[in-house]
Parts: sequence; structure tokens; C-alpha cells
Amino acid sequence: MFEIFAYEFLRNALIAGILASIICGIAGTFVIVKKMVSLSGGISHAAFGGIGIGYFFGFEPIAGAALFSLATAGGINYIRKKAGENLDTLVGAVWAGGMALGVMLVYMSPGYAPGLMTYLFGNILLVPMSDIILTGVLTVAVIITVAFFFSQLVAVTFDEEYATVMNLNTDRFMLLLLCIIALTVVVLIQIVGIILVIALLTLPAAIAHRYASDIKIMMIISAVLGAVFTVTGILISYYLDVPSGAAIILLSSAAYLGVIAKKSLTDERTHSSW
Amino acid sequence: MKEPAIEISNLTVMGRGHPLLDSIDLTINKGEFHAVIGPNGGGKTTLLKVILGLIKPDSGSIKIFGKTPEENRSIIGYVPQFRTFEFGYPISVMEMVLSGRMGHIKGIRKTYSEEDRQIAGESIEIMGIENLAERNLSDLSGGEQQRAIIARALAGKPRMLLLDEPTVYVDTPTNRMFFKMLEELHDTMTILLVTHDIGVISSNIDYVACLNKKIYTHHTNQITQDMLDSAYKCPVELIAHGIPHRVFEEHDENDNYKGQNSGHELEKERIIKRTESLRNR
Repeated sequence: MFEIFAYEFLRNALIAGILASIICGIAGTFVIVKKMVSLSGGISHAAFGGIGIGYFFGFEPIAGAALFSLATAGGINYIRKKAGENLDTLVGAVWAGGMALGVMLVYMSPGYAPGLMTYLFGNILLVPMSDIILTGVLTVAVIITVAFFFSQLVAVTFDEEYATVMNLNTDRFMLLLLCIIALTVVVLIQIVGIILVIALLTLPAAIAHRYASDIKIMMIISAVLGAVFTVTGILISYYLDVPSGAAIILLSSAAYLGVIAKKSLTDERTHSSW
Repeated sequence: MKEPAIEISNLTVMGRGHPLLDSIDLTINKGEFHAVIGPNGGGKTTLLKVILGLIKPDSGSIKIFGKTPEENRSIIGYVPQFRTFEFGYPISVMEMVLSGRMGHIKGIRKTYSEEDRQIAGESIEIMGIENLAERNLSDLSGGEQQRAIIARALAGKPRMLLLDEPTVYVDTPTNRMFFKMLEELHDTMTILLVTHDIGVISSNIDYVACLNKKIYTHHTNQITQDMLDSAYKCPVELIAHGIPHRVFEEHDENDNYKGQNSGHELEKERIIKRTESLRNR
């Protein structure tokens, strides 16, 4: 069992997975309580446009993804209020449009696009040391930022209108939150890939939401759950030789569905006991 | 000398090419209790949002205690329409009420002081939910949640209270208690309440206005027939099926509490007389 820690790549994968779970627990909690799942899905899929830009102009694709998802976050925040009921459709357009831009640019880039599948589906077993350091820095930065502005972020995500009446600059805090989500997405891309990011961002927090009475506790529960899913997924991937991203997400989805099923079963029992 | 708390003059708000509020004039003096009634979509919530500076008027002017809404909204306690925000949020009643202090905290980093906690605790006590302070907001009943929302507004130590349809999801006994509580709050602050439910208008309200894009006011606390006619545009239907039906329903239940609630009795008599005179035409 413990021979796995002898392999550096596996150790790196586990460290990256746990770091990502922490940042994911924080960002994912806000995504769930503020009901921003589709917004975050839009940001994460649009990131593929940034990957394409990286390939096309010949710089690091993940840097392209970071810039592009931050820009998308800014854009979405700008139009969020103006779009009103059309926001849903708009996010759909950004979601697919970003993907399409990525496909187009990757196709037009000269030569073979190395690692394209890794960006789409992730491969945590290939995460280099440099990415782990980047993930660590981002995680610490997010924790400090969220801790500093905690009461404002809670006020804005709980009741945005009332926060405005309390003279908070809600637009700026929503922008901060969307940027945190965008950076979290970039971290998660390495682990589960663009297509599956939204699941790892939201499922642990969604499960935690059912049990937590306090937003800090919800963050801790979802970080722990994320770590459990990621670590187990990595081990499954290593021992069974299956894709790591898919293993992590299948585990998370199964756990989420299990929690829902358990709840509806309990509810039925309480009703029938009348 | 009456000092105005709210001064609105010739105020118009447009939405998609149609006026949501049309040339509104409204002055509310300090210490007064105003109610604005009107049909759904008549602009009641829009009016409150203009007062809070959440919606900018297209023309006209508005002053809150002599200043712009943005400058002075931190001394307004806002009780938004029930269920306009997420009740599944993992937050305790205390934390939620504390967020009502936010407007008074200076600095970039906003942390609640001991004084903030004390004031929030007092607001929770005023609303009689101190035993629920540490409970999760989502575990509370509708009426208890409504009291928590009002406690949040009181935590800002407001000089004025704005209430948007405060009784919609509240049952009749809670409703009565609610008005008794408003009466007590009225001693220390100006109150503006908007509702589509004419049945809730009670005698301790100083002035009633009708709002349906335009505002109709008679500077009394009685809802007159022509105010209703102008605001609702369909008086016969409302008199025959709408208001009396609703009001009778309310008052049949209130008959058990005659002694405590003479205001409702008076209102009931008024409406019966009005309905009879209409029938005799």
C-alpha cells in the first residue's frame, strides 16, 4: 500500500489533489450558495478558448486559460445585471463560444497540439512540480483574500440587494468572487480537465450544503470531501489504470446521487409513518 | 414644524418604454406612518427601490432626510419582500441580523465588533426570537424568518423603516402581533409600508396612498372610493369580488378579538357601508 508514496509523480498528484480540494471547497461553497453553477460552467468551458489562444500564439496554454477565464469572469460580471433574464442564454453562448474558439484555434495552429487531451480531460498523474507550486500559491492567496473580506462576501452572496443598501460595492465583490472562481477553474483543469471541472467545483460543496449550518463549516466539509474524492480517484486510477479525472468525477457524482437518494428515502419513510 | 423624511417630487421611472412610476409626488414627514396600497405591478416595490437608491429615477427628484438615497440609505431599515433571497443559505439568525450592521462599519476589512453583536442581539430581542438566535435561518418557520428579516433592518438602528408586503406569508395571529409591534416601533421611527392587501391597513396608520403608476393621496388614513377607482381602474369588480371578500375573510376571524382591534372593526364597517351604498344605486 505505502509503496505508492515512493513514486514522486504519485506523491505530486496527491499533493496537487489536496491543494485543489481546499481552493475548490472555498470557491465551490460560494458557487453553490449563490447559485452560480451555470455561470461557473460558462467560465470553465470558455477557458478552452484560452487554451486555443496559447497553442495558436505559441505560449503556455494554461496561461492562456487563466487570462481567458479571468476576462470571461470580468465580462460576465459586467453584463450580469444588464442581461437580467437573458443571463442564462448569454452564459450558454459564452460556454459554447469559448469552446468553439478553442477548437478553431487549435485546428489552425501549425503542427500537432501536444497535451490537448490533458487539458480537456485532465491527468493529475502528469502534474509537474511547477504546477504544484502554482497551485499552492493560488490556494494561499485565495484563503487570505476570502478570510480578509469574509463578512462582505457572505453579505453579498446571501442578499446582494441588501448588501447594496448597506453601501457595499456589490459589483466589485462579485467580480472578486468570479475571479476566484476563474483561478480555481485553472487549478482544477490540471486535475480533471475542462470538461469535468464544473463537477469537482460544485459536487463536494453541494453535498456539504446538505449538512452544514454555517458557511465556514460548509467550506471545510466540501474541502475534505473533495480531498477524499480526489485521493481515492487517484488511487483507483493508479491501480486500475483508468483515467484519473473520470475516476474522481464518477466518485463525486455517485456520492452526490447517493446523498440525494438517501434523503428522499428518509423523507418517504417520515411521510409513511403518519 | 414638520420635518420631511422623504421628499419625492415629480418622479418618473421608465421600464421598457413604459412608466413604472409616473410623476410621483410624495412627502413623508418624520414620525409619520404611511401605507401605500396598490395592485401588483403598480410600482410599489419600484418606489421603495428608488427610495433606497437601487433604481435611478429617469426624472424628478428624491431626498432622504435632505440627502441623496445613497448618502442616507444606511439610516433606513429595509424589509424586502419575503422570499426574495435564498433561504437555504447556511447562516444563523444572529449572523444574518449582524449583516444589518454592515452599513455602519468603517474600513476596508469589515468585522463585527462587540457593540455590533450587542445591537444585533437587542434587535433580535425586540422581535422576540432570542431563543432562535443561534439557529439556522432555514430551520425557522415563515413567520419566524420574517421576524429575523425585520430584526436585520432594526440592527442598522434606522430612523425609518421601509416594509414591502410584510404580511403576505404570515398567518392572521402573527399578522396582528406584527401590527402591534409596528405600532411600538412607530414611537421611535418613521414607517412606510407598501402592500396590495387592503385588509392589513389598520387605524394606527396616519396616511394611506394608492399607487398604480401614478399616486393618489387624500392626506387621511382612509381609503376613499375615488382613490381605489383611480388606482385600480375597475372599481365594480373589486367591490363585488375583490376587496370586501378579502376584508370580510380577515374580519370574520378578527371578530373574536373585537376588544383588541377596534381599527379593523371600523374599517370593516366602512367597507360594509360602502358596499351597501353601491348595491342600492
